[in-house]
Amino acid sequence: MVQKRPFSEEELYEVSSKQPRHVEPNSRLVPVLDYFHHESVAMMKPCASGGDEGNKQKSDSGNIAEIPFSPDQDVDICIDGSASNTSWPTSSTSEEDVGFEVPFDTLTSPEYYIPSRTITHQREVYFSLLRNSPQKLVPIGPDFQAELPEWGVPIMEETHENMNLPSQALESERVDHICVENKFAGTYIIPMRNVELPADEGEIAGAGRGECSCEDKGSMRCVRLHIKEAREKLEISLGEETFVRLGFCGMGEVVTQKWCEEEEDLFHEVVFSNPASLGKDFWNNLAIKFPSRIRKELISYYFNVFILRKRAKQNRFDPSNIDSDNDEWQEIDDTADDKHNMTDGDEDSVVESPEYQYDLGCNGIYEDDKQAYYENVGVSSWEVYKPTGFGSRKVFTDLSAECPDKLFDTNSNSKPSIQHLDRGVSNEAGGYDGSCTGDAPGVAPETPLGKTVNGRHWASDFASIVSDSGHDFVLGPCGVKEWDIGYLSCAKNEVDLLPTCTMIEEVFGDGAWSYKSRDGHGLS
Amino acid sequence: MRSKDKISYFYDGDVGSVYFGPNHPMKPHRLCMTHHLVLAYGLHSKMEVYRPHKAYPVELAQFHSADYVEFLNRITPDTQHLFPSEMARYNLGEDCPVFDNLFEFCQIYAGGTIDAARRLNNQLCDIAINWAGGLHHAKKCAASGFCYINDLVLGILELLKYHPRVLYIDIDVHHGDGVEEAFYFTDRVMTVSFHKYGDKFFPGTGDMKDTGERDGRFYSINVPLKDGIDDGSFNRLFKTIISKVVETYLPGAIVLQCGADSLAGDRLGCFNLSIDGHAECVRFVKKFNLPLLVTGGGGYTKENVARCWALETGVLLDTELPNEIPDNDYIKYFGPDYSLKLPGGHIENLNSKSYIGTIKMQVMENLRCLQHAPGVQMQEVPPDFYIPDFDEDEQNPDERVDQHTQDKHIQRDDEYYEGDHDNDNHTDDA
Repeated sequence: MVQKRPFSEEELYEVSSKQPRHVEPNSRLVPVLDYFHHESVAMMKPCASGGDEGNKQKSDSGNIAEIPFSPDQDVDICIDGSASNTSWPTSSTSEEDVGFEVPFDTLTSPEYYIPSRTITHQREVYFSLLRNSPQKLVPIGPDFQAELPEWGVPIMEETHENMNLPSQALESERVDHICVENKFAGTYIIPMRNVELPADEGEIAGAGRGECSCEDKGSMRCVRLHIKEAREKLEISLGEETFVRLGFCGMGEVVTQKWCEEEEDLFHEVVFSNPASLGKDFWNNLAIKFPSRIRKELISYYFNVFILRKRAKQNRFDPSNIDSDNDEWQEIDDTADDKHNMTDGDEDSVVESPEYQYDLGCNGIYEDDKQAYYENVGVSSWEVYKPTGFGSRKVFTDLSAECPDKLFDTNSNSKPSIQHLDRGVSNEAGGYDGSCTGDAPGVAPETPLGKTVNGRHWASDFASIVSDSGHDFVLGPCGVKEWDIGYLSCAKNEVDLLPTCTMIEEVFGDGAWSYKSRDGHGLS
Repeated sequence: MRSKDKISYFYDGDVGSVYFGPNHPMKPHRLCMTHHLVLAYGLHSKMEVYRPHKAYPVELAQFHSADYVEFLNRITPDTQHLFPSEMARYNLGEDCPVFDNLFEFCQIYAGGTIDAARRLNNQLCDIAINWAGGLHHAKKCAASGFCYINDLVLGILELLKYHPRVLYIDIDVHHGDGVEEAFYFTDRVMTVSFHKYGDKFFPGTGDMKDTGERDGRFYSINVPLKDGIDDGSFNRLFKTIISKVVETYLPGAIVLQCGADSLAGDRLGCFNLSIDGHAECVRFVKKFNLPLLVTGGGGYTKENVARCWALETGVLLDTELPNEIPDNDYIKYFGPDYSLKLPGGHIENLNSKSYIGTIKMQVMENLRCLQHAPGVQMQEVPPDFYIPDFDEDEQNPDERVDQHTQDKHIQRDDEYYEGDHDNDNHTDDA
């Protein structure tokens, strides 16, 4: 096939996926230059057995025409009677015919904005695509577009006045349709209380958290109590049946009612022993250790208890670095210094020296781009999803073995200062994302790094970060060290620093503060 | 004043146990959190709550290829290694992993959107919400971008049975490529997507130049944006464009995908929108008083997703929510501030005023080429005429409303009906 430039399938999709995309073997999209008027495509009309979607011309936009051909679909492009789609007669008319050139990614280029007339102008050639990153084109063909239903054909419950269909077909379709409609329109869970609501009623909903009179206001116990009260109130409001149908029995820490203490301890142990940051997958181990538990139960416990408790502690001990996706987070030892450094998930509390944190910070961003959660290169494509970008969302992988050196080297021409400025306090070595969802004061500003932000592609992105000098990196308040930020923010927020013994009780469930009600009582 | 909209809300608790895999950013548990927050705020008392039916394979095959649906139904994590070529063909295994209960998950979220469309079609509600839906990357024969079944396409196909034209609006940070692609050739669906574009951001489509093909030419609108767009810029652009679209296209129904990854601080996103800014789009679309199907979409910082969609549920209910998050099982997720609203982000806004102005101009330019409602003879818009911009800042008092625009208003009465529960909207083709 004659192509204007070497083309590979990988290349076509390079722009769109972090990992190499799997191009369907059955169809390929071949970019071909479009030189012809949209209507004058007759000579290039696809001879398809199916529809005629084979030939896609972007004459209006002047882009490369794509001819998806799928051997299975028997779609061929017929050019001048030729059954082959390779002999583009225009192949020779290359750059000379360029109407205008627009750099792919300089949208502000004045040539890019076509005068209104040329929008309908038929001959537009967009050559720059050949030179720049390939623009990903919309695939066309029977494998891509939807088949639309006719409007007005289906009937409502009332009599129908459609004139276009034969009555017999109409009748059967009508019956089917009504049956389908009634059967598959969802199951009522909560009916409307008042069918007719005055327009101005109920502008405000919910009461928000009110002030409580607890002595240990804001403590774990206080929070649990109020959650329990809220639940009971909601149950009364909804009615028990609806309450159950809405799934409340599987929400929140009530899930622990079905777990004994040993199981909970084992769960925690399995997770800590198999940190994702070391490339381990604790889910497999969980399945092994809990043969009697189905996956749903494990997942339910994970989100409703395990992570929730972590978040509770994060709220109190490291509020500027909350991350509900970090299951390796551990609160620091009380004896640690006040830098709120988080330890590695599978180590005892270790206080990192500021310099080390600094180092980690510098490398963190690269960690993101590489194997954010995994140290092992071969693990998978999940690194794509590293919360990159916004400073406080950098992922800090476990900086044990493989850590930073190689990354740092490869990214030596980046701006290390950026990384650790925008990382907030998240210096811990435990693969924990220094995310900050709230307006936690002092959170370092995020960087506008396209790559790191857009987790779905990193490899090429990363290269572009380094080479792309077009972006300014917003560093925000310079000079504020991340640990200061964290410290300040923590100090500002309400922090309920429980004594260590209480924390142990919290974690391991001993004593009166135990949340797990093995006797099945309550939630607090 | 118009009476309050009747809202149908779809939710199935089974989504909470869906788990894509370790470190995968898509966490359906966010739907549990959203739902819980909605209930904690007492919003359930103002709307109808439904558990959707699980969509049947035949329903999914209304758009997707039968063999793809069948494969999704059959494949499990334990057997996926036996089908390497199919896995590759359907783009499964990386971004779109095979996990336990995958097909059931698809059935739930697709069933929600289909049910929502059906209720709208039957005028049983004015607005239908399915936060579990909005998976806009799924293709006819393949998964993509964490999406397996394109519930939006299925919902739109359902709406198309009752409406000649459906407008699709997508405010996810990623381009709504699956939906655009599905309807690229038709003028019965207009797709409008606001998204980050460039820097090889996923999925790579969504260039402003992509406007549709054949009958669908100019019926795809793409608004490519750069990192860091803030509330002000985004909302102005959104309102200007959507106003013009609705006025020009006269849709019978609107589908709004509210991907929350366009919020500041999203794990994968790169915009600066606050929750208020995001919700402003929802508020604006609701004002058109058209049958409205609202879905979720992206959103990879769970608690922000829950905040956003809970707030937007309130917006759709014309209900203001207190900023203090009420006690609920998941309240710890919302610490340490426990507030509903989040401010916008602080990353640099790379969308300069001139850039946005240029985009706006170009989109408006494309809209002018838009053929009017199908069935009406197309009239060329003389290039010298300029339809007034809705943006007050840029309004040119010297421009006049041309005859073309006036004609549209005339037709509007014929073709456009208020959603006031009347049933006479299916007479002969108007």
